[in-house]
Formats: sequence, C-alpha cells, structure tokens
Amino acid sequence: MEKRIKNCVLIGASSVIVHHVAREFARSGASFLLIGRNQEKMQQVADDLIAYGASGAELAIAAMEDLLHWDLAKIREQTSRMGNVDLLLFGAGYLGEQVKAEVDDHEANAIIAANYTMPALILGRWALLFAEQKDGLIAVISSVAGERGRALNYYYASAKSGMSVYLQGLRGRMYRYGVDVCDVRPGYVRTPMTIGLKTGSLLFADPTQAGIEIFNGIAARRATVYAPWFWRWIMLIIRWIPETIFKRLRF
Amino acid sequence: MDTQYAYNSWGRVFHPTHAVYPVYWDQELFEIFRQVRAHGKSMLAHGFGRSYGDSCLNDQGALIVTPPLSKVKFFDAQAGIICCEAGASLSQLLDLIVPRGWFLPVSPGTKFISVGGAVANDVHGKNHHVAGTFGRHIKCFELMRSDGKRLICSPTENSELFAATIGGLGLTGFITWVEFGLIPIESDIMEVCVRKFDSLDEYLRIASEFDRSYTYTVAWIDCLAKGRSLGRGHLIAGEHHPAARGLRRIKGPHLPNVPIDLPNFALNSWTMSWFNQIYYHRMREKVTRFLQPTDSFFYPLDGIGNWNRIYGKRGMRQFQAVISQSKSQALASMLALISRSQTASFLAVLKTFGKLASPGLLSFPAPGFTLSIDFPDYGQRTMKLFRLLEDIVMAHGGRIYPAKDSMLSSDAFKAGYANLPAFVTQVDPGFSSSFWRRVYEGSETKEWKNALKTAS
Ligand SMILES: Cc1cc2nc3c(=O)[nH]c(=O)nc-3n(C[C@H](O)[C@H](O)[C@H](O)COP(=O)(O)OP(=O)(O)OC[C@H]3O[C@@H](n4cnc5c(N)ncnc54)[C@H](O)[C@@H]3O)c2cc1C
Ligand SMILES: NC(=O)c1ccc[n+]([C@@H]2O[C@H](COP(=O)([O-])OP(=O)(O)OC[C@H]3O[C@@H](n4cnc5c(N)ncnc54)[C@H](OP(=O)(O)O)[C@@H]3O)[C@@H](O)[C@H]2O)c1
Repeated sequence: MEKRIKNCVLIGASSVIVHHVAREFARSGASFLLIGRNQEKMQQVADDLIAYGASGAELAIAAMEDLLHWDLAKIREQTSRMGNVDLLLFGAGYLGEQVKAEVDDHEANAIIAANYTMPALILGRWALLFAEQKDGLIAVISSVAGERGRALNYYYASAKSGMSVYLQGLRGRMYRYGVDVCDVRPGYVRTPMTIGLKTGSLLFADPTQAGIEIFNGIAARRATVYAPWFWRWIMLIIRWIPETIFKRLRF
Repeated sequence: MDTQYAYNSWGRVFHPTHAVYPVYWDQELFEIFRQVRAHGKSMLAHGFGRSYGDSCLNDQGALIVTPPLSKVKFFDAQAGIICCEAGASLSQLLDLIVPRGWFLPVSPGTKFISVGGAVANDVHGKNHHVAGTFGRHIKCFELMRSDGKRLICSPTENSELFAATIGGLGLTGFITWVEFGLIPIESDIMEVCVRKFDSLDEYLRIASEFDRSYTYTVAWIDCLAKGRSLGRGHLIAGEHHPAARGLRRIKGPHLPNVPIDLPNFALNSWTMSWFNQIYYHRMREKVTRFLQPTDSFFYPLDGIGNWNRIYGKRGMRQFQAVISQSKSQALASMLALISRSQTASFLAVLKTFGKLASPGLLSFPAPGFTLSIDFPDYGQRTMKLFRLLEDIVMAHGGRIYPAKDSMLSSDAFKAGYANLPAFVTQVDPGFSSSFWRRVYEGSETKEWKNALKTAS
C-alpha cells in the first residue's frame, strides 16, 4: 500500500530539479519546509508551490555549512510545526570545475564537501529524526556520473559515488525503523548547473520531465530512481565497457 | 553563456548565430543585461521559437532564452487570475488551471508557446470574434529595460509602454512576469460541429451565422482546389462542454516526434493534393457533431513533436494577412493565386476576426478575414508568390502578421501598421531583432523619417 506523502522537507530548495519534483507533490496539497541559502530564490519557489496547490510552504535560511550545526533538537524544533516528516528530499550539490580542481585543492575540497562530506554528515543527523519517527522516506539526489569515473569530472563523480554507497548503508540501517531510502540518479537535466556543458542536446532532459519521473519513483518508494528512465540502460552499458577501452574514451 | 543549442524559429529558413543566455532566476537578468552590453551586442528575449520567421531571432546578437523562467507567482482559483513568469508555457499553465476549472482566455494553434511570446505577438485564437486578442486579458506585467530599470505596466500605469509592449515583438524590453485573467470551464471536453462548404461563397454565407452561435470558429481551406471548388473546406466550431466527465485533464494523443528532416521530396504538390482530397472528402455528411478533448480541438498539431521537420531541410514559410470584411474579392484573388501556384501545403486556415479592438500599438488582428497558409520554401518561386500576395494585401489596406513573416517588405510593414511612429518612440535602444533590422531599420525612406518627426 502506498503511504501518502504530505509533509516534505527540501534541502537545497532552490535547486531546479528539487523544485520540479516538489511541484508534483504540491499538486496534491503537500506542505513544505524549504531549506537553502538564498532567501529570494526560495521565496519564489515557495510561491510557485503554493500556486500549484501546496497547503503550506515555510522557509529556513541555512547553507549546508550551517546545517552541519543542526543537532536533533534543532531539527525537531524546525520541523515541529509541520509534524511528522514524510519526505526529506536532499538536492543541494555542486558540479564545480574538474580542471580547476586538479590544480586547486580549494576547488577539489569544495566539490567533495558539497557532494559527499557535508550531505553525509547532515543526513546522519536527520536519520536520527526518522529513526525516532519510525516512518518516512529519505530521498537524495546523487548522479549517474557516480557509476563510473571519467576524466571529465571525477572529483564530482567520485563524491556522488560515495554518496550512493552511503545511501545503500543508510538504507540498511533505516530498514528496521520502516524508513525508506531512495537514491535519485539523474542523467543530464537542463538546469543552471549544466549551462554551457558541451553535450548533445538529445541527451538532455527537461526539468519538468525529470521532476515527474523522480516524483513517480519516490512515490513508489523505489531504492534507486533513474531520471530519465533510459539512463539505467545507458549506465548498464557504460559499466560494462572494459577498463582498457574505457580509459581511452573521451566523453 | 550557453553554446549548447542552436536557437531557431519554427520555419527554419534562417541560419542565425547567437550568444545565448538561458535565464532561470529573475535576479540574474541584471547581470545578463550587463554582460550583453559589455560585449557591445543587442539583446532579444526568445521563448519557444514558435514564431515562423525572424521576429524571435537576433542574428549576431544575444538571445535571452526564457522558458526556464517559468515559476507561477500566484494563482487565484476563486477569481480566475494567474500571475506567472514570462517563460511559462501555455501547456504548463493548462496542466495547472484546467483541473481547477479554468481555461486560457485566448489560445493560439499550439500550446507550446510562452506567456511572454503571447504578449509580444498579442496572439489571437479561434474565439477572436468574442474575446479579442490575448492582450485584452492582461491585467499588468513587469517590463525590464536594458538599463536594468523595472516598470509595472498596465492600462493605467506606464500605459504607453503597456500599449507598445503588447504586440511589441520583444523590442520594448524584457517582460519578466504577466498577470492575466482566465475563463471558467466545467470540463476538459469540447462540443464540436464541423460544417463542410463547397466554395468560398458558401463560407461567406455561413461564417457569420456560425460566429454568432459559437465561441470558437475556424475554417480549414483546401487551397489546392481549383475552379468552382476554390476555397472549399471545413468550418470547425466549438464550445466548452458543460460538465462532461469532469475536469480531469485529458491529454491528446501523442505521436512520436519527427526526429529528423524528411527528404525535401516528401512534400510535393502530389502528396499534398492527395492529402487534401482525402481530408476534404473524409467527411461525408454536410454537418457532423462530436465531442473532443480540448487539447485535440485547440492544438491538433501538437501531438506530433517537431512537425516542421516534415518540410525537410529547405524549411517553410507562412503567409498570414488580414483584410477588411468588405474585401472578400481580394480574398478570392489571393486564394486563386495560391491555388494556381500549387505550392501551398495542407495547412491553410481562414478565420473572421471580430470587431474588438486590439490593445497593442502593433497588434496584428483587425476586423476582417485572416488567411494563414504554410508553404515549403521553394526559394524564388515562393518569394514571387509572397510578393504578389503582399501586393493584394497592400492594395486593400490589409496587413501581414510579423509573428509568421519572413519576407515582408518594409513598405508593406509601414503601410500596414499606422501606429508604427508612436511605437518607435518606446523601443528600447538595447533591444533589437533580425526582423526589426530587416523590415524597419533596413530601409528608412525620407517620408518615413518625416512621419516619425511629426509623431514624436
Ligand atoms: C503551430 C502553430 C500555430 C500557431 N497558431 C497561432 C494562432 O492561432 N494565433 C497566433 O496569434 N499565433 C499563432 N502562432 C504563432 C505563435 O503563437 C507566436 O509566434 C508566439 O508569439 C510564439 O511564442 P514563443 O514563446 O514561441 O515566442 P518566440 O517565437 O520565441 O518569440 C516571439 C516574440 O516574443 C518575444 N518575447 C518572448 N518572450 C518575451 C519576453 N519575456 N519579453 C519580451 N519579449 C518576449 C520575442 O522577442 C519575439 O519577438 C502559431 C505558431 C505555431 C508554430
Ligand atoms: N542537472 C543535472 O544534469 C544533474 C545531473 C545529475 C545530478 N544532479 C544533481 O542534482 C542536484 C540538483 O542540481 P540542479 O541540477 O537542480 O542544479 P541547481 O539548480 O544549480 O541546484 C543546485 C543547488 O545546490 C545548492 N547548493 C550548492 N551549494 C550549496 C551549499 N553549500 N549550501 C546550500 N545549498 C547549496 C544551490 O543553492 P543556491 O541556489 O543558493 O546556489 C542550488 O539550490 C545536485 O545535487 C546535482 O549534483 C544534477
């Protein structure tokens, strides 16, 4: 039986992908706590969700760096008005510049921190809330990039890969509390993150389409969601290419 | 800046190069404008590129691509008012408003256009005779000028810019959001009545009666038919159905996209005339009535993605003009000319515009007949035909629709749009388009400059 998802917490609420997933929940009257660092953007997202039918949309201004300091008590306090949290959707992330990261530790660190270290620590805190609730769903956006390292973006990809493995472990831990963990792996989606990427436009999905597919995957409580769906098969092939050949490929 | 995609218009006869800036957040606009200006380029907003010609292109300049800017600011489902960012598509809005009992006040023949594009071309639909243009339903919008200044425009506030921006071809600045009124519906279904007519004369006899009895009317014309059948076709009329099956959204049939350009020979006078014969005779009765999902009634072509590729690499051009109702003879000569050329395709549409005034200085709709026809681009041949058609339009005091145009002469543009001198005073100096440079700036005659002086 499908449990209805009503109360949603969004981390990285100004992410275009997160917004489009949230819209689908808004249509059936969900209520939201939006967490992110840019108030102006988040207010626009909140207004949009209300227009789409959300029964509430509150903001908490906090960057991932701030969320590291939220302990269980603070999390309880922030979500108390909402009540039971049915869904935590975590979408904050940073693509960064691979070439820069190769020579600049600062950039390399920023990429790893935004896509692995910080999310891992923050999710650890929120897991306590879900363990206490004995109910709910944690959905985190990693990436298909994490399924195989490429010269083009391996700082980012390895951090996302780490996140996927983290989520497998977290899924096992949360299982006995009846809490589901969903690893969302988008392919290329048109968002600010991918502006200027030189990839064939055929491979790019529209955020509306990606949002609907991710929504369906989350609502069905699948462990891994590819968006668009065909990336499951593309990645299957890509994982199969022998390393001796793969290392010569440029893409 | 994005270099990922080549942005083009629907007809694909131009091959422009742009510096492209997709915009996701309203607050990024200021920085984008600054960058464009720093590169010494002109800018233009670009929605879904559903304009046929070059009015949405800015060759060698910057395109600010709006579809990602598509958040809804508010939707008052009691009063039927919506306010959204200008890149929102009509398709996106329909999915939101229809289930709550509302519909667009005016719908063009495709739902894949942006609200900004609907304003900038002051689009019309099948209900023009009762509802007028899209612009009539706008409460207000915000316009951002190239210097970064933001202005709320409404019939009472900055009213000159309001009138210039509606139908203003994107030349008065960037529309960030638009607030407009909706119309109530009880279902996502249309009651449709199709009436066959054997000739233009018959159309002229029955059209006004249909306009009196139906909210939505449009005619499909077999523009390859000759002689006594000249101007034969189907008059299609519709009404929102009261409460059939409720408001659940019904998506029209979705056929696969046309993934590649079809070879140029796929469309030729035989295949087209064959199609038109079948289409015309498909209907055996004089009158048929049926129910249809709203999407299929309003947007019959949207089921096939990228159908413009059917025309092959050569691309296509559309001709759309309006001439006064007293000039049905001119309409007949245009149809005769088109039929004789045997180059038109199956998409020929005739509609009688009503008398409701359009609010924009450069709005296209005016009372009378409007004829719109697609042509595969046969180069010189097509160009000659368009010139002859334009001559007829000019001789009868009509005008041509810039949203569809790719060949309009400067003289016909200036003759057709009497408010042009007043419009020019509102143009933002940082904005420009390929259309504007071709049709307006390309050839400034002396009389024209004088007319301008007296206007300002
Ligand atoms: C199949 C089909 C059927 C059609 N049927 C009809 C019809 O029945 N009636 C009708 O009137 N038209 C019709 N059209 C034309 C279409 O509705 C118009 O060309 C419309 O303006 C396209 O919108 P767009 O979002 O694609 O904008 P574009 O074509 O990309 O741009 C159109 C204009 O709007 C301006 N613009 C876009 N966004 C903004 C903004 N934010 N601020 C300022 N300016 C902006 C652009 O600069 C440009 O001048 C049809 C087109 C097609 C392909
Ligand atoms: N787009 C793709 O093709 C694609 C593919 C696979 C995976 N993903 C992943 O999908 C997720 C969402 O990305 P998107 O495509 O929607 O791009 P986006 O719109 O640019 O979203 C990125 C989000 O991360 C936030 N963020 C970055 N660093 C932060 C920090 N230190 N603290 C708080 N928030 C921070 C940004 O906040 P601000 O708005 O304040 O900057 C923004 O909301 C990311 O994890 C991304 O890696 C994207």
